[in-house]
Amino acid sequence: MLIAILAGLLVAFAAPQLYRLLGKMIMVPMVLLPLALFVYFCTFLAPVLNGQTVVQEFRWISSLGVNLLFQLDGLSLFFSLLITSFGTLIMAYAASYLKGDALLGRFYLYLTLFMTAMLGVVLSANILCLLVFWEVTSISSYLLISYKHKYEVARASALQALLITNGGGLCLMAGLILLGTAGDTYSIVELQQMHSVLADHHLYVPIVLLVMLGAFTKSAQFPFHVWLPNAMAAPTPVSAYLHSATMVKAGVYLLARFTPMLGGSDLWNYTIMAVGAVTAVVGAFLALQQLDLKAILAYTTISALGSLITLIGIGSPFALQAMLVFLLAHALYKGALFMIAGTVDHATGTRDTTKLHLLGRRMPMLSAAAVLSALSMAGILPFFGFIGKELLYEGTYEAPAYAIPLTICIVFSGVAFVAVAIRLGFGIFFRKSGEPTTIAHQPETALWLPPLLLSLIGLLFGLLPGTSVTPLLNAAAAALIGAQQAGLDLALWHGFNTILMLTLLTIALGIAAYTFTNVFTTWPVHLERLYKIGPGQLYYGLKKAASVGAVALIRNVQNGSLRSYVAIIILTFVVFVVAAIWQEALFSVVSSQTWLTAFGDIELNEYLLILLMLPATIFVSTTRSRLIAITTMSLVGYAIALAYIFFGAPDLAATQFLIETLTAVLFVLVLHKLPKLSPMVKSPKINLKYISLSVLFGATMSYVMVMVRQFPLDSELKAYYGAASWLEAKGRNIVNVILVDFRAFDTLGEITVLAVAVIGIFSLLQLYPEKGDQL
Amino acid sequence: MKTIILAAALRLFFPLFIFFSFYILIRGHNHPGGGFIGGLILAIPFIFHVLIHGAAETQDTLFVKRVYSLKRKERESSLSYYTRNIGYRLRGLLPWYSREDKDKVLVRQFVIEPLNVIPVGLALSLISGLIPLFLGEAFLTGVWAKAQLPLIGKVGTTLLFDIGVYLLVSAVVLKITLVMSKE
Repeated sequence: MLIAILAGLLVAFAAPQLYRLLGKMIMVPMVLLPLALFVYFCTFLAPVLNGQTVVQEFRWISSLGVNLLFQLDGLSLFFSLLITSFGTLIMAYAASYLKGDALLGRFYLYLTLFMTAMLGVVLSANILCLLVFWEVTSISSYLLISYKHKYEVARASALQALLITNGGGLCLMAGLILLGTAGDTYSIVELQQMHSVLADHHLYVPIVLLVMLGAFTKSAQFPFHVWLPNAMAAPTPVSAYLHSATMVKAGVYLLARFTPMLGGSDLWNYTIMAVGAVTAVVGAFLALQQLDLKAILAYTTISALGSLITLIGIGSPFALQAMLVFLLAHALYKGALFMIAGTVDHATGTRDTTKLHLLGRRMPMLSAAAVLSALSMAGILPFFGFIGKELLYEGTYEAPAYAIPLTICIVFSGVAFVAVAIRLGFGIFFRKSGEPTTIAHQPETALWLPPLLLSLIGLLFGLLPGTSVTPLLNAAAAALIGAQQAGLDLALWHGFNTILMLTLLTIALGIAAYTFTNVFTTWPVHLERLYKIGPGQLYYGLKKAASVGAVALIRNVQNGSLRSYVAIIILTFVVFVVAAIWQEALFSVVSSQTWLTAFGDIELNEYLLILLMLPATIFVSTTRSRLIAITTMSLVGYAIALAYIFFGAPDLAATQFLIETLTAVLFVLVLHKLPKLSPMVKSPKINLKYISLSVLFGATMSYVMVMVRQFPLDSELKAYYGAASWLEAKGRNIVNVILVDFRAFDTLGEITVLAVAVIGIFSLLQLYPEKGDQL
Repeated sequence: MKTIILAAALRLFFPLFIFFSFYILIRGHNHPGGGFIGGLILAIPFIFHVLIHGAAETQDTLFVKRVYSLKRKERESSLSYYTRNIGYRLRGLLPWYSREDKDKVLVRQFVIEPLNVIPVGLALSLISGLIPLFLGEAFLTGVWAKAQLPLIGKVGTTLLFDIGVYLLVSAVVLKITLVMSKE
């Protein structure tokens, strides 16, 4: 499974180059990747359906319990297949949708990166790995939403999505770390067996709340739902993939995955249930008011996510099974509808439902797809959406608590779904409401085939639920419930019962809602005042407050005086060191006798070094020429390098020599650009302040140095590295062996920092767009 | 700072510096040296080149490799054209041969940008850590080949790691120098 992730990363980062090489044929490798992954995951079907769990572990940082642990049980497999199959269709669709776009390579980079991260989320069985992939999905979706970065709306929406989902991501991080502490492991496999330990743990409440925040922000639950409709600024393939089928489902996945370890308590059930139900109603209500195709779909997605979350909150085995079925049904029709909306937009240049009329005859294949998926969305027999909706109603109707209010909420969202489905499947395609909209060009095959395929799959699954998807859903549900077999049995016909009555009621009310669409769409004028205090405004208010606060803080703290920064740093350091010495009562360790012995065993060559450095330091503080200051400072540096040689550290000495030389050269390069050196000391008052600070710092450091010498240095490290570096790392130079072998992870981190620093320096000094510079 | 003596000295020392930096890199495992120091040494001749000739010229002469071809004469057969071209290329390999042909045309231009070398170095180090992962070891565990190479000795992933550091450090120093000297 690591191979799948790495292949995804590799292809993702190769995409821009591939685009340069292949031109529009880039579609071929980009479609083949998810297809290959889909086939790869299909090979796991047999063992997983037999109830096995495939686990792969790669050691990463074993000592901290952070390993690349991948697990493929029913739930992971279900999501993996969903991600890769949708990925295949979307990749093909995107190539036509963004045909000829100069940045298509970059688009594929982001999209493939996203897909890989999403796979990582569902495959990870180590919660820290899961978190990493989780964050990558946030970042890549940020890049995707801001794909049309020339438009301010796209940038603002992307930032909003990033801030909200990443804010949740931070909460999730805290929650997962607490979870790891509470369970004493980061492995999901082990945590799942510790349900009772975790439930009684004193950290249970914060863990649950933090994890929920992460999931709710990602899955756009009220009041964090505001980012999702705005995210529609992204190109439609992104909306279809991220905002209907995958990313927003990550929150649902997370809650589902954590149900066996954290679920079951009142806190868990009622919070999730309440948030989900409110989201379902709010999303449905807002969806009815929209005129823009994508906005309508976005709000119904929010509503559907709310329903899914509600089912997780109910938490009964049946509700969890229903959740999976409804999730699949929703992904199928919503992905198709998003792509249809994109194609309509592509062909006509508008997404406004009031301007779209009678498209059906002109685009027969597309309208067929629209009708099929709209029927599925409305929950009509014999589509898979019907089964999903039946189970959804049944799950809420048979909830152990608050069944009636929950069912009312869900039925309300169902009514909105029916109304919206009629609008999308009938209203813009067949309803004789005005002059037929002119079509600029006929959509290409790749623009109508993927949605048609999805809607046909929806029909197929509906007609043959038993043979097509039930085994997989069963395995997924089994993983959720923790049983060997879930006993899920899908069928189209359940007989005349209350649920069927509810469905019929929904359809009737939905048709009524569709006929009175005008009422809903003209309402917002009266509701303006309400929206002014809504979560969207809250977000903008908070953002503004944050930037105002940041400006105020910077003005007071980051005042631009390098000297005061250094003073603050030194003072903080000294305070901590002195406090530590005070606390450990180390003041008596160094007596006057030890001071004498400390100075006693200094050899002649070491005195020479002091003779070299002391005048240089005094001189540097009095000179006004930058050149002299730099050369004298280099003198100090070289003296230190000499000291390294005296004490037998040739590696350090060489590095110090080289760095000292290079710094001097670099300084000389920029020297003539800098203003004249101002005198170090302006007034006697400041003089006294800085002198006393320097003396304090010097005294503290000297004291620490002498004190350290009082403790015998019988560390085992020296012996260990001395022996191990030859035996285990096959090198004689201990310093280098430590750098590249024993502590290679640190070195890797350091060189990464170095690379980031250069990019920072480069962008600070080089990027002046107003000069017309090219990057 | 265009001094002839320094420029002439640098021409002589340039290959020496590069060779020495590589030597330092290779010996690092057993003696003082390694990727970090080697990378710094590798950057030094380039920095001196910048000091002497300026950043723009350094980039133009050292980081751009231009491939020239002869212009095709009118009604010249392909055979004669290609043989003439091959001869021209071969002559170009001789150090004393002046390439001031008037009828040459630029066919290709390779530009090395230090900013692009940085991720390459980072990737090499990362790959050296990923190799053991596939052999069932922990990330960044040293894996050693059985055979020995002449001059270099034992080869393992740590060498690859060090080469990554070497490339990255030299590219970082170079990039900073180039940017600073241009500003």
